[in-house]
Amino acid sequence: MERRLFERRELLFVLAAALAAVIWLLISRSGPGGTRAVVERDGEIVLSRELGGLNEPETVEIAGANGVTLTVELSRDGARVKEADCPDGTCRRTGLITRAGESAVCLPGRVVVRLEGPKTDRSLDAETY
Amino acid sequence: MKPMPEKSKARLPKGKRAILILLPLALVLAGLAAWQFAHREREYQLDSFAMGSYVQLTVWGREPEEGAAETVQRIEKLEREISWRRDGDIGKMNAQAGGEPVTVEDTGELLAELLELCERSGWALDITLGPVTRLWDFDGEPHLPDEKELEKALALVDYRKLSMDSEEYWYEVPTEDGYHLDCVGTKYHVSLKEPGMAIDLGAVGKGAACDEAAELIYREGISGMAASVGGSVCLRGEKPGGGPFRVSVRDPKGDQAGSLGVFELDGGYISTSGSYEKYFEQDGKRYHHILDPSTGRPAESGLVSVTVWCPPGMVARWPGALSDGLATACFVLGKTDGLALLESYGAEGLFIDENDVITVTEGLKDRFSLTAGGYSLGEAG
Repeated sequence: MERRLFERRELLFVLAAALAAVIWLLISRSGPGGTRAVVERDGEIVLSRELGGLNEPETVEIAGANGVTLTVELSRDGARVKEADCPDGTCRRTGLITRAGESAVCLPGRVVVRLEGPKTDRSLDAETY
Repeated sequence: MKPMPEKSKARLPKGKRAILILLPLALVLAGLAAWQFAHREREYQLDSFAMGSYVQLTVWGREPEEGAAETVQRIEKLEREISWRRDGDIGKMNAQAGGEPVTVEDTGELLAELLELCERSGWALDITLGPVTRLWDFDGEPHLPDEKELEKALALVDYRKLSMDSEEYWYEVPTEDGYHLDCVGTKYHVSLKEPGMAIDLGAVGKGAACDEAAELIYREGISGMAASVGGSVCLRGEKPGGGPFRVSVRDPKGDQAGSLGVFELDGGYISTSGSYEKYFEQDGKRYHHILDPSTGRPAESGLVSVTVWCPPGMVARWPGALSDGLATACFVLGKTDGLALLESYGAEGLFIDENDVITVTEGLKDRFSLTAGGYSLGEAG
């Protein structure tokens, strides 16, 4: 009688192990799907939204430091500071940010709006301006 | 020749033999995987406010957290020394203008590098522009200064009246084996010759902070980093998995879209000076924050923005500060003279003029891809 490498019972274990390995690999590979907008105040995250999940633009008011209030608009296209009552308005002039790694910063209000992408495929490492 | 004796040992069934072989192998593999997990390269991101701007650090390595936190502290310490608003080295020099010199070390080295840039740029940059920048107050409440006041302030601006003597000294650094190393350091005695003069390193502060951040790469367990302080960027080491760093350039016409295009770089320092970043409007005229030291007014050189790249391997003690200072100087000089200045330093750049024409130097051409519409690419030189 020809002997097999594994008995039938043993083969079952091997197959289960292989399946577990494949599932683990799939889980560890998949990150968050799309681009996410993150709003920070003084380094703390106050808002985080998956942009792909927005069917229509969402407008949010953010109370920053030093009495500065920002109106942030989030949509499938990206994020922008729509209105800001600070003296310089630099964040508003940054316009629409569309790629992971980009940010709009309000220094007086210490508020940052930035886009994050899936970790495995981050499109930008930095931005110069 | 003897015939090989026939093997007569009893053999385990093949399945059991396989398990006996595979089990230790699996254990070894699991051990390796666990070891790799513990020592794996991680990405760590730290955001903070320092040097009057937004600081973003991305660090790759086995132990990125501690180094990143330390880097932010280093930038804060540098800010104390080089900001004219604080009471560090520069604050003291300004307070003692017209009087006794101030003795410094690192700040002196930075000033030496910048004084050379002031000279080589033909006065397109002046680090003693303090009296004028305070009048415009771009970081506070920007406004058009009074004509007479501006004239008076401008008379106090002259980097050649910043005197600096240096002296070398020896000091000992103890080694682990009980001996010591003899090291040489340099002390700088810096003074401003006239009362009322003031150093303002606002044009190079963010770049200098990038130099400070760059020290992180020498820490154990760090393999790569991308640091941005305001719009100045420092790229060191390697990303896990290799490949170039990707840095986007902000579109000067920001109201339409965020990004002009993307650089793919293997390291170095990048800074941008643009008239779109800080400005105000008064009586229907727009005033931006990049001041020409010869007039004390916003530079009018036909440019909208200049981005400078100091590539890895460039001979400079403060390449980040240099990239920042070069961007400002090039903006003031205009395209033709700016290109010549960059060439003399071995730096590369991207110029955008008022007609939406983009000029990219030879060394950057293949590393830049334009993504925004409404611009055309011009020829350098």
